Amino acid sequence: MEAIGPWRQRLEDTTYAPIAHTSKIYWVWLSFLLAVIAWGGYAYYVQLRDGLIVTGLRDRISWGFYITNFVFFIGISHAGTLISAILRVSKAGWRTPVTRMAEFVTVVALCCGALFPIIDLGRPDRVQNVILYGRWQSPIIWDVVAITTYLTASITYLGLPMIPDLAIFRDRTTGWRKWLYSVLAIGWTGESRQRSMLATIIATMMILIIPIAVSVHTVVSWIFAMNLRVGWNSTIFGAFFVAGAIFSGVATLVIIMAILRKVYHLEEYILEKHFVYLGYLLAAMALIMIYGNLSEYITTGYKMEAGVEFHFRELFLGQFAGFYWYYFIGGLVIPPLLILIPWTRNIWGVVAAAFLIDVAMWIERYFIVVATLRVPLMPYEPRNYGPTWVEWSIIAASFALFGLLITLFVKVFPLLAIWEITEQREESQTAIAESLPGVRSQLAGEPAGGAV
Amino acid sequence: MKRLVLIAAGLLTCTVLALGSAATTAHASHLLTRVSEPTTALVGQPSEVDAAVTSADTGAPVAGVSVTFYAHATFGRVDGFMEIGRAVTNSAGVAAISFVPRESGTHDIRVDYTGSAGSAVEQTTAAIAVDGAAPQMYVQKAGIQVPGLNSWLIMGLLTVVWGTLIFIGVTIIRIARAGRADGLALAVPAGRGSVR
Repeated sequence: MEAIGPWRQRLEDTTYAPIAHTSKIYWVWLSFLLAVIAWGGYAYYVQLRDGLIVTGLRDRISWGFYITNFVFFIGISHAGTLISAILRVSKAGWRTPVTRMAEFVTVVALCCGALFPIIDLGRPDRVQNVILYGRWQSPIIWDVVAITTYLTASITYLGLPMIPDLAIFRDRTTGWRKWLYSVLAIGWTGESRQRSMLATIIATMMILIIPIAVSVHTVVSWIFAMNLRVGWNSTIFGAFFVAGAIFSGVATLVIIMAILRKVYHLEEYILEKHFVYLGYLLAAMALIMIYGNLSEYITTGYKMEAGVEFHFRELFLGQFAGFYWYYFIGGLVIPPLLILIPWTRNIWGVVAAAFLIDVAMWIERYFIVVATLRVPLMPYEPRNYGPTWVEWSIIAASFALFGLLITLFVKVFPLLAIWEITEQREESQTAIAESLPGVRSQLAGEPAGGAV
Repeated sequence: MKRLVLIAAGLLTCTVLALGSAATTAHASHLLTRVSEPTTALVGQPSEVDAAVTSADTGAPVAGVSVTFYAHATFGRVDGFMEIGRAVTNSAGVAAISFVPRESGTHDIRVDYTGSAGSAVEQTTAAIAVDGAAPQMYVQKAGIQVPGLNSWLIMGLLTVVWGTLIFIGVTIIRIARAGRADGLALAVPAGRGSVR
């Protein structure tokens, strides 16, 4: 076996540490998540037993928390695509320590999000009707096809760059773990033909997954925008949803990065600059979102049809005003300020901004769904929607499931892309050595991120 | 004998014709339903469906009462009568609605009438034969037909995407085989040749 240097050994040890050691706090956290999921499971049992009458959904407002959560989770699934694929395509070297987490957030978020249309159905057995009676002309079918394709592509894209790292774990472990990593590493030896083929399919996937990801959230928006309803009848919904998805996806990634960095002591690899760079991305996306809001509401408000007036009153002054103004000020205005002002341009500033953004983006999806459905289509009194304990419980369980899947992931799979970080470090060291001959030997032992 | 057979055949024919006419005109104790001419409707064209309410005792028309019209429908495994309209009887005791059939074939129409409070609902049914092209739910009249912009485009895109994913799956198998071959080559002692 080729001898590895102390820096590479430390990287492998750090990545392997979550698998080798399990603390008591880990079990307490796992138990808490399982308890929340179990409670959500009981709430879903109640819904299955008694029907959707146990929720706040009725014929006038038939989409509520469930569809809000569906759109939110599908949105944050864009984290992996953006960080991993787009930054890989653009050869942004700083991405390497965060790609694995981003790709995993994508897969986990898609798994959680895809459950919600089924939960919202009330009768899960009716999912088969989408297959049996689906029509290609329907946005529902586009959605099912797009999400299924994206999930398959995301799992593939998560798995491919992990193969060399799984082979490292295979060589370090014994017993059932060795068997597991042997299967997952698919006989990786690192020979040149394998490297060449892997590089080809990773490159193919990083190109392929970007249009797939964009199509997914565009199609999710078309479930709304293909209606003639006030509030949804918009031509910019596709672009607006894709921008919102990247916005909330990066915010979620920042929060997950901060937690995992603290818990698994990844400070050597995930540096402040990673948070700041992602923060800049958040600030840019916030400006795009502000522009999208102004463009959408000014153009529809200038014409002000009867339904639009009611919708705007509800949104800006009425029942949903608190939500809207929190979203606009708390989610779009304050976060970029936190990121751009030098005093708060640090890890905690960016994490605080990301938290504000995630809450705001969930709320945005809520009023896109509910405030629009509140606009009466016929002469009847506008109806109200209030989620019941069943909906709150299922929503809580979905976030617990999200946390559980990430918690289990870090116990099984390499949290950092070892070979990519190593390659990136070698490339940057070579570049430095070429520009300053004689300094290469001095760089041995320096952290990867710091050397980039 | 021959005359007897002819008389029997004539009676049978009259009975069949009478039963056939009852398919479009039926009546309960208070209610008489009929479909206005033409009895054969066309897909997408409005047809008037009438229901006449008469007194069971005197046979006189009953004006100013409401009747509800239903059409039998099947959609997504749901099978039953769907309300298609309500109307109030005029001075001749006739209530009428306009019905636009969306599918060809025979449509069963049911008319419900509730008399005085607490009395049972009276129902009567009639059938309308609807002619037309292939069965359809919706007749599109507006829109621009762009050649190639249809479901085949979606099929084509999906074929490209899933074809690429299958190519990646096959390459993963090739990587695994290359690894196995490499492992075997390493396992063969020097001087005994290589498996590759």
